[in-house]
Amino acid sequence: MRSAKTVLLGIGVLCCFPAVARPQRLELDSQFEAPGKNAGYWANWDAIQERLVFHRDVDDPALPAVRVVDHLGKSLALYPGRDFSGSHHVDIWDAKGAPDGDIVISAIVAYGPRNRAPIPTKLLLLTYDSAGTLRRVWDVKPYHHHLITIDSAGDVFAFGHSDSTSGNVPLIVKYSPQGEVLKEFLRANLLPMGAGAVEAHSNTGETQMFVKDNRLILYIAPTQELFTFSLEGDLLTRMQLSTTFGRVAQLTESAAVQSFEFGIDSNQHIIAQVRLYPKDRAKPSSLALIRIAPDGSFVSATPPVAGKNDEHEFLGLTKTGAPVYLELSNKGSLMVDLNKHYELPWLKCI
Amino acid sequence: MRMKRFVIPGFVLFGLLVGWHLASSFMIAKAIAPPNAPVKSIVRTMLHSPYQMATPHRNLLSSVGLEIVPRAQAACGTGGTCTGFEAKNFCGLNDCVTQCNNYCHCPNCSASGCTNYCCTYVGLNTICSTGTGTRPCEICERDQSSTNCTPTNSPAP
Repeated sequence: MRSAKTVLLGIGVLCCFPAVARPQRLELDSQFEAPGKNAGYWANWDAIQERLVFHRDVDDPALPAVRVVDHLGKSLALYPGRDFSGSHHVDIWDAKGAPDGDIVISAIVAYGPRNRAPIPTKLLLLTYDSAGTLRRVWDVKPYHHHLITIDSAGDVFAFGHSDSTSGNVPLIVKYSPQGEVLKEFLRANLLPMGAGAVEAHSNTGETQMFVKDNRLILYIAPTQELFTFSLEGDLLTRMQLSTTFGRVAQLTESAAVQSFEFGIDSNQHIIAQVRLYPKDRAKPSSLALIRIAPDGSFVSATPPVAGKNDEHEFLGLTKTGAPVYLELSNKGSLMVDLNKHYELPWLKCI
Repeated sequence: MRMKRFVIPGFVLFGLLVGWHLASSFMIAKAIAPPNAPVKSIVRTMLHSPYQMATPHRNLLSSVGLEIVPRAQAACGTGGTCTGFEAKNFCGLNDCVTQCNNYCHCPNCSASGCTNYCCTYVGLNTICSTGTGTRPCEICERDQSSTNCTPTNSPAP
């Protein structure tokens, strides 16, 4: 009788405090993994599945090119080199999580040494399922996609360039989950730099592309323009952010501002991490999160922090709008701690 | 007699459709198979592929056309010879790994951002232009590598 009461009491307590999936610490210990030329990883945050997707180039098929760590601590390693026998190396240009748990990768599989050219290459989009099995291989030649993102229907958006001789190629291609081209948009001649805007590096930051609230967001770093498209490829907005970054530079008395990862919060404000370079070159640069209104005007920023080299890297926002940072744990592993609360740009102004 | 008039074209049409489908499947499998893969291996991949394959930007005719007449190297910019190299951010063999403990993007690395770029062979030729990088990677657009990238067959500056 007493035990029955205890059980009932326990059920009552459980009903009063419904089980909540507690946010976790996502951690990847890569310190001792392939030191040397294949050492480090790039990190992407999958906000929908709450996963970290790491990727890197590999010269050895035995090394994982992609690692995925989910919020339950489960880790998945993908080995594209093993799936393409005879390949010499695999370069991963981007890897993103899909809402259904798949991982989509933009890869170049090369069949010859890095220091020789020409060598045979395959320009591929690969899809792995959540068990790590290769499910789809699309040869996208003549396109080379630098960035990819996936919408809730599983359609893949890819930003890249082609070796078409026309010069006015579409820079974004939308693929169905079956690998059909559904739409091609953002013609190169819309941009002052043409297809040259699809490049790996710019002094103004890094190009970013992601899907948020059924819209495709593309920030092109070399031209400092933010494009918003419908998922059907219609251009909704086009914003020039150079004035905004100029305002940030003015307020912080910086010589230059570089922008990196972007996120969109629930109020449709743009949250971006920026690096501020001081006018005095002897001084170190600092980091801040800035908030930009939907019309492109500057709103607020966190106070700049001049940190050490292991200062955390902003990866985006969670579903609830909290910032996600990649950090180094005390033991040297890479981690995201979703339990931590960070200062947000709407709390403090510079 | 009238029946025969319809059956024969029907069979021919059916044969053409099946042939088209098989040829398309073969060309897709060939595109994904390693270079110089034997026909037997391509057919095996075509019939028993463990994954779905597609060549979204090519159909049977364009694939066959490319087999017969490979795509000409596109002329590019004003910078000279196209090489098919592009600048790619990478990890390893650089200060990034030691300073950033095995992740590639040091957000607060004041000097360079701690992201290294190096020439990597892609095989496309249109965005080559006058190099702005450092030797020996000048041919890559905006290559800022300070590493030991040595594309030996790239043209001399």
